[in-house]
Amino acid sequence: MSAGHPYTSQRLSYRFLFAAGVVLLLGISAGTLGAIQFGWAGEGFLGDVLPFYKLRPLHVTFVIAWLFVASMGGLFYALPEVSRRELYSVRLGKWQFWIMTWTGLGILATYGAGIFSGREYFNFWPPFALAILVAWALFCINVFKTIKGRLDRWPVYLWMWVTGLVVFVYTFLEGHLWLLPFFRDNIARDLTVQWKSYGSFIGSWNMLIYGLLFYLMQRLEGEGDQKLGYRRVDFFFYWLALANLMFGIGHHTYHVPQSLVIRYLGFGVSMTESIVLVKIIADWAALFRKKPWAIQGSQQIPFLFVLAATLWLVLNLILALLFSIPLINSLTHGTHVTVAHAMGSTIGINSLILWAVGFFILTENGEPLSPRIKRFIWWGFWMVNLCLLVFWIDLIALGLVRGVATIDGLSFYSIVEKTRIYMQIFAVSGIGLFLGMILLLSQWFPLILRRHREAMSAVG
Amino acid sequence: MACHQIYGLGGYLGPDLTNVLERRPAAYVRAVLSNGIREMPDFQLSEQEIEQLVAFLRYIDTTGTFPARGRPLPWYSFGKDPAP
Repeated sequence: MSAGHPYTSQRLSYRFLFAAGVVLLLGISAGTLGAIQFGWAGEGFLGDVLPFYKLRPLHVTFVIAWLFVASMGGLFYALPEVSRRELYSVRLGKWQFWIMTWTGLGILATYGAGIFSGREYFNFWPPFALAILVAWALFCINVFKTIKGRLDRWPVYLWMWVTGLVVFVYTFLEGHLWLLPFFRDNIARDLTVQWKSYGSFIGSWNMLIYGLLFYLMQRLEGEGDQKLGYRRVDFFFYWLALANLMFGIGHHTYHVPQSLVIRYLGFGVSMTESIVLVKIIADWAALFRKKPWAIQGSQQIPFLFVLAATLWLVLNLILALLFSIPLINSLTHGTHVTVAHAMGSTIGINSLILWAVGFFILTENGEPLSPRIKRFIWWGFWMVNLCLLVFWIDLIALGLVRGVATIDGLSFYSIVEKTRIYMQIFAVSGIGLFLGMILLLSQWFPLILRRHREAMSAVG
Repeated sequence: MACHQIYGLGGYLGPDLTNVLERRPAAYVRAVLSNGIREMPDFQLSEQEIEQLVAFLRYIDTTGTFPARGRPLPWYSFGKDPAP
């Protein structure tokens, strides 16, 4: 029995949460340097050592790695409790961890040497994809073997995790179809397949993270709401999310020359998210009425992170619904409105949920947090949320100004001059976001080490 | 894709390149690729690489137009089938 945790194998989650913090630190450092270069473009801030074309893939790759590695940490913690037995194999989990670590270091080294695939998301030397797939296969074996035969009826979050695992493999392979000449030799086909795969790829991490959110809410609600995750409405939204994962991302490629059927299908399915919007607003209101800020004890932190994440979900859903409308999309496509959506989703929704899950794992049944630790976490929480709000609004404004200027036929450099102030606000709020995340990470790492020590002394 | 876009997809540091050869002569594009411009560095490309990139941009230019031109369409419409 582990200190505070009923299953010894749950300790495996610590190393994944620690590694997730490390890759997040790398990713946001690259992103902040890139934002400074973007805001004051041409002034060459560290451009000779770390040029923008190296920083951007570094930022994208390692921030996505944070989402997946932190999700793995969450799953390794949740699975033993859900299936009421130890993980199938801790050794397999450690193998997975080291394969991922060495692959990450390899990707970092090749970025330094200027070796990329040139793609948006999987912008690394293609052989690394094989190592990632091997690590993912080990992860899948551990998950499936742990849950096999243990539950008469699966809660919706288990379906979501399994869907995320399977969809990842499919989209990861699809995202590498450009290696075949049939796809690479036709730019319209290449772009359509590439961006379709990215949409579903995002769906795969959303399935893992939203599944963790369901699990977390069930744990936070305690014995009070055992039906959560088993209700018909939960499964309705699971199927709706799955449909959006498969078809709704058509709005990524409205402008690529492709079949009208794909565009209208993407448009139609995207509009079904309005049902999700109504549900999320109701959920947020219900959560707000519980006054999570008045909760005493270790549950307060994850509750408030979830409350904020749900609000960001509402804002980003409204944005996504609006730019899925063809007329609005023709103004916003290829502008920073898309970046606002990506940042709002990955920071405001995904990362806040993962911090909620992480802080839940790191505080459950452990020593109470000191006022000093809590204070740091709250400063980080507010700094991240407030800076993200400025960042998000600024990116939307920047995108709209750019969209209108493009339609008016202004040259690219005239647009750059016209939007300079927006790019500088973006960079400054980006620095604030970075500092907010540093505050959170400053407590994240010591808390992991503390829990690890507590667990080891309980075993010893 | 880190800095430029094709059909509005990619990074936002540089301009969209879908129809760059419609807006600029090939000689200008070759000069930019050879020397860099503003925040775009000189990537030390060989003559052969520059010609391959120009051929690639010429090919993309033939596949379609971005941003779309013409009269605004109704809010729900994508217009006529653009599939090549």
